[in-house]
Amino acid sequence: MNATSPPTSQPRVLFIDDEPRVLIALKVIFRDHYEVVTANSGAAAIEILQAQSFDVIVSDQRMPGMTGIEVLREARRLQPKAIRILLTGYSDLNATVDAINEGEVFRFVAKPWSNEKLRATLASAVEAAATDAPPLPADAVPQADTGSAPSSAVGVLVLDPDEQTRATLKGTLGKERPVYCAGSLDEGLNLMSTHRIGVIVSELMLEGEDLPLALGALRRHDPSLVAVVLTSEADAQRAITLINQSQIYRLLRKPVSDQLLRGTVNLASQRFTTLTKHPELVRRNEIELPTEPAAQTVAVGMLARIKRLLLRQTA
Amino acid sequence: MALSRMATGGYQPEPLFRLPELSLRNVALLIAATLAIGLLAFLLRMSWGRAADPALQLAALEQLSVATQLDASLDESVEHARLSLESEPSGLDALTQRIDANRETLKASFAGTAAGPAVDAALREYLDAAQRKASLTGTLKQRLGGFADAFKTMQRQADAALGNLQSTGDAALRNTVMSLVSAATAYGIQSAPTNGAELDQLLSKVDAAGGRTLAALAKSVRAMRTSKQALQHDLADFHALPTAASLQKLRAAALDYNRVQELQRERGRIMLAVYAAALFLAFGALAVGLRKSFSDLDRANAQLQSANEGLEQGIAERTRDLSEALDNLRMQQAQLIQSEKMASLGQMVAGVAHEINTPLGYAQSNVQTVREVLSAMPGLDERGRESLGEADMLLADAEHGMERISELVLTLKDFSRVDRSRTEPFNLNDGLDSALKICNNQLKGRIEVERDYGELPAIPCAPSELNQVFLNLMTNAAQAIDGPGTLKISTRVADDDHVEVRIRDNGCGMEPDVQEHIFEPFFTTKAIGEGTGLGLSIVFRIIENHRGRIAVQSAPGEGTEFVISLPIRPASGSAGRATSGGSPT
Repeated sequence: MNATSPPTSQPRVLFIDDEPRVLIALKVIFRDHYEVVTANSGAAAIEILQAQSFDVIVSDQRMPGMTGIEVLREARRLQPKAIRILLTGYSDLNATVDAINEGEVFRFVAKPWSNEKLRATLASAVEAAATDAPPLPADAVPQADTGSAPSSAVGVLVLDPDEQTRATLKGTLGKERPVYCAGSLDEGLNLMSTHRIGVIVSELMLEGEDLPLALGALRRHDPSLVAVVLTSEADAQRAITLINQSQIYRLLRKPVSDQLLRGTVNLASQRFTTLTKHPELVRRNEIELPTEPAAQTVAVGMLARIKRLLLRQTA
Repeated sequence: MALSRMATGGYQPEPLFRLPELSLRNVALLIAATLAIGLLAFLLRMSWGRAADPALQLAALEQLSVATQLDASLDESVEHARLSLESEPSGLDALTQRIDANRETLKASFAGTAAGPAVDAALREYLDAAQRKASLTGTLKQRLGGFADAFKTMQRQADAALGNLQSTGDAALRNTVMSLVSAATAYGIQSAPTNGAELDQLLSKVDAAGGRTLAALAKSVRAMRTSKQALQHDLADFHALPTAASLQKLRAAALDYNRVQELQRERGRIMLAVYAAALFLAFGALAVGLRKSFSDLDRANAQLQSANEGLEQGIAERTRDLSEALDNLRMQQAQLIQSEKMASLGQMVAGVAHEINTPLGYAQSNVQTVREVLSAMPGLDERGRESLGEADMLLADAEHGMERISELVLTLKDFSRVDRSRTEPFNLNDGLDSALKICNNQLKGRIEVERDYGELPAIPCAPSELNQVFLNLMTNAAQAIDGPGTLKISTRVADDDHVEVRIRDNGCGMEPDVQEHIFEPFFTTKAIGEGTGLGLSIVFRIIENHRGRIAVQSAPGEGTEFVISLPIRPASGSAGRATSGGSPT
């Protein structure tokens, strides 16, 4: 992008909301630390995005004319480097899933927000955006799913309690890359300790396991890991957790077509390769710790469990 | 005609009873019956009606025999009287009288039998002949008397003449006279004398001899001969009377008449018998027909009855099916209403969440910002700091209020579970808390809530549905409590496979007959407009769909307790998914 950035050291943030009072409130909070630009519609935001570059873009979801996801998708095309955040009072299920797959949003923040937390979120977003590295190739390369990719060496772990589904997934993905199947998280961790695995394709509902938490812990252990989650029972709340605490790459609803699955896994593999080559890029997908203390404890426990399992194998 | 006109002539009230319809068939039957009875009467009359008293007929025939006998006796008596020349015929009078009596009797007895014209004619002929015979008998009697006198006179003269001749001795003459006497005697005795010419020759010889005695003799012989000739003439007349023949004829006629009568009666009887047989056959045929139609009727009746029973059974079955269908329909309607309600609630919550959260967002943010600004304000004087502290306190309250609103919206979202997956592992304690928050305004300040939650595993269920169940039971409990009361909610793991939720109030309770119906759709004890009667039926259906059980214990005045039991593990259909997750480590 050849956008002309004003000569200022402050990170640039774009807020988009159809309610001007929200914009005013946000401007008051952040004007001291960032250079704040606001737009009160999607169209206005696109116009601004075409002219200026930003580090962070924060948008409401429900707006007349253009939804937040549509704006963020366009923003991702225009400024792939910018970190995208959704700040909304209510987002339906489809919008939330789209926020993952199309918007590739960094965080999903609910209104009403806490100033303190929003500051922290924005700070981490700015930090993520600051990782000045070559842009991730996967993001803008739709032809990546054409076979013969050298990334075929990236191992894929299929995690699904249903054996038949595992077999189907292996059949779909197995031609181009090694695929390892596990019926439970522990089984999966065993496989991860012995094989080089870059992409996890997992069912959301694992018996007795909190997948967002496990993925978060795994990401903490191996930040370059790319997660694709499949689910037959989409759930807005879970999707939001998967964004904020796992930064999963894609959330696909079962049943998934073979083509979509192959394409998605190819993209995920390339992403893994890029992340391995440029570890600093991992910061762009920094995850958030659960807010509730109890959940934090569980998360820490999960991390310890993962470490224990993986280290036992390597030791 | 009258009937049909009556039937067609506009509205007529239903008559109390109805005359049998005069159909062509009925008329024909009536006529046939009348003819049959008439024929029967005719045949009866033919075989019995004209039959005279057989005793009378017999008496008449008897009299006829008597008459024949009497007639023969009369003939005999007359003949006898003719031969007994010396004496008067004595029995004739008595006989004549008997014949007269007999005649009268015969007349009377035949009049009693009322015989045919042939008999009457024969009778008349006989009576005529008999009467004439009676009168002739009288004449004959006199003639016989005269002849007897003449014969006696002749005998005396002959004796005298012979005596005279004895003395004279004229032998030739004597022989002549002797011949004359014997010829005259033979003439007198023979019934039909043939020696008349010889007698006349002898007489002329005697006459030629002359003499007084001889003339007297000749004279007496001639008198005797004349008398004899008259007698003979009368006798011929007497015998010529056809009494015996007419009696014979009468008898024959009577017998013939009787025979004809008998024949006719016989024919009548035969015809009667034939007719009776025919009637019998007809009746038999009728009876067979009736029997057949009765059995037909019976069969038809039986069929009708069985059809009726079948129909009743069918109706009963259909009614049962229909009422089942109605129940299902009601249940479906209730479910539809409920799901529509929940969908509307979800939509409303989604809209409300956005519309409230947006203003709430900047309001809350601004309050926070203001508080930050105020706290960062450089200290003024004492009073200024005091006002600042006060303002901060007020703003803190405002923030608290907004947090409450935010929480409420979250609770609404949690409760309606809009855009959440329908089924997932869920901790019932969370659902109970969510429902408690929703119905908080019904409980607050009036009803004390005791929560006794056990540690529960997350069970596979549809959380939104169970939330409705809990809210519904809590609302009912709150409504059952009039004034202050207690709502006790407890959960526990009942056994290896089930968790249990108890929701108990100390409200008004329910009568047993109400308890029986509470889970039926549209059953409500609330006033019209206050309750739809859907709540508990939906509760029941939801628990049933979760393969759980719901029971109610209630006593009027003491309160009500609902006990819900739900399975911990999913149904066996998805068990493979659960077990295949088992890890070998």
